[in-house]
Amino acid sequence: MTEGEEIGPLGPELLRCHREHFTGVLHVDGTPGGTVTLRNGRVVAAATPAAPGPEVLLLRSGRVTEDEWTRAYDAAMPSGRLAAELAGRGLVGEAGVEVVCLLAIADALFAMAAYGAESVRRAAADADEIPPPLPLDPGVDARRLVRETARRMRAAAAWAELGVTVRNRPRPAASPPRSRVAPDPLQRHVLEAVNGRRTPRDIAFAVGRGLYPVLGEIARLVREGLLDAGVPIAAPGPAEGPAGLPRRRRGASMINEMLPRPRAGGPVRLRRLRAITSLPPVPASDGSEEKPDERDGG
Amino acid sequence: MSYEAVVAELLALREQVTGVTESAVAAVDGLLVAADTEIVRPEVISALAATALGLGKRAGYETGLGDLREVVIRCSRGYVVVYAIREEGLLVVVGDEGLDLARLHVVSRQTVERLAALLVEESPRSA
Repeated sequence: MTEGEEIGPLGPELLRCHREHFTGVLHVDGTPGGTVTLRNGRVVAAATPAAPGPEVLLLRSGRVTEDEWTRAYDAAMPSGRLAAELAGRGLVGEAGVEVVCLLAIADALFAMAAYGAESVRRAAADADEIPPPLPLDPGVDARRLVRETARRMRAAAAWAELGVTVRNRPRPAASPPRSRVAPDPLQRHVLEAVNGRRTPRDIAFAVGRGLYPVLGEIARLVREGLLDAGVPIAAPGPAEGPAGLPRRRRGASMINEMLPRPRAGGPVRLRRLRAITSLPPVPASDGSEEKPDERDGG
Repeated sequence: MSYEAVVAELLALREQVTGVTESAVAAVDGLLVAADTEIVRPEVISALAATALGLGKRAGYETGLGDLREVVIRCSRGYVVVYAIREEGLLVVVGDEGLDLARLHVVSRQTVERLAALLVEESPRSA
């Protein structure tokens, strides 16, 4: 096994980048995938839709308000020095920003590995490219990140045995145990955010904490009987239709025959849609039934 | 039954695209058809989406930028994205700030195609 491979294709590539002092961006293909930005072989930023970035972590933690963030962001954008701007305004110390950025990078790498990175492509540094808003300076050693991600993946493997994975939608337990010490703030926030719809990643965004700590908290709550891990959802493949729905054949609807370029806003189209509006609770309309329209009658 | 099929499309969209939290299908005038919502009020988001879609189309026409692709509203905590379903309906998608917008655009194109077929096929031809 190549070194770093235990976390997928991203591991060996990060180690290569470290050896070659790579400067540029790694595009991680996967669902959802993401990017890792490196400078001289050190990771300065990592972003993925699967994990909250530093902005979410700073804002949701209440350390910075939305107004303050917006003002600092506007002031910093010409130079791109958002961390210095946040510190200069006394909102959060530079060390505080660094810690949050480091947490966000480690969490993003874990998220990409946990969701499954398929392949990694390099893109050399481009002077025109917009830099990440909060780069870590001078960046974190890629070897350290690979080790940390591997450690987190091992922890996640233990949680998976409880049924807790990034693709589960946990729900409140049907009969939670009675006696229990009061939950700490993170547990309380997680318990409040769990509703059977949200995945651990959705909960992480809702409570403004990393995917990794939230996943661990869910596993703990499942072990204590307060949460049910829920049924795992299938990993989505390349963009295609939901299973169980017939694939639409081109022209099968005969829509082109039925609707020869209808004009917007005509009443006939609304009536067609109404055929299936009977099930959801639609508030009673004001009685202004659409009038038949001779131009468009059928 | 087509209503279930529409809901199945909305559920599939939430499963396939990271960051999608809620969605609804409505007629182009904002009348709700089906929804997969948690916090937003389906009737309200449908009506707002219809207005946003109208504004988007109008803005595209006025500026000579061609047909509307979608309306993207970005807020500090997330997105509201509105797609037209042919000329007669709309799909509105709500996502958090981590929404995978690029993937949403890819997946939603196919969703919109299938929703269009569902919405029109099911209804009887008016005599």
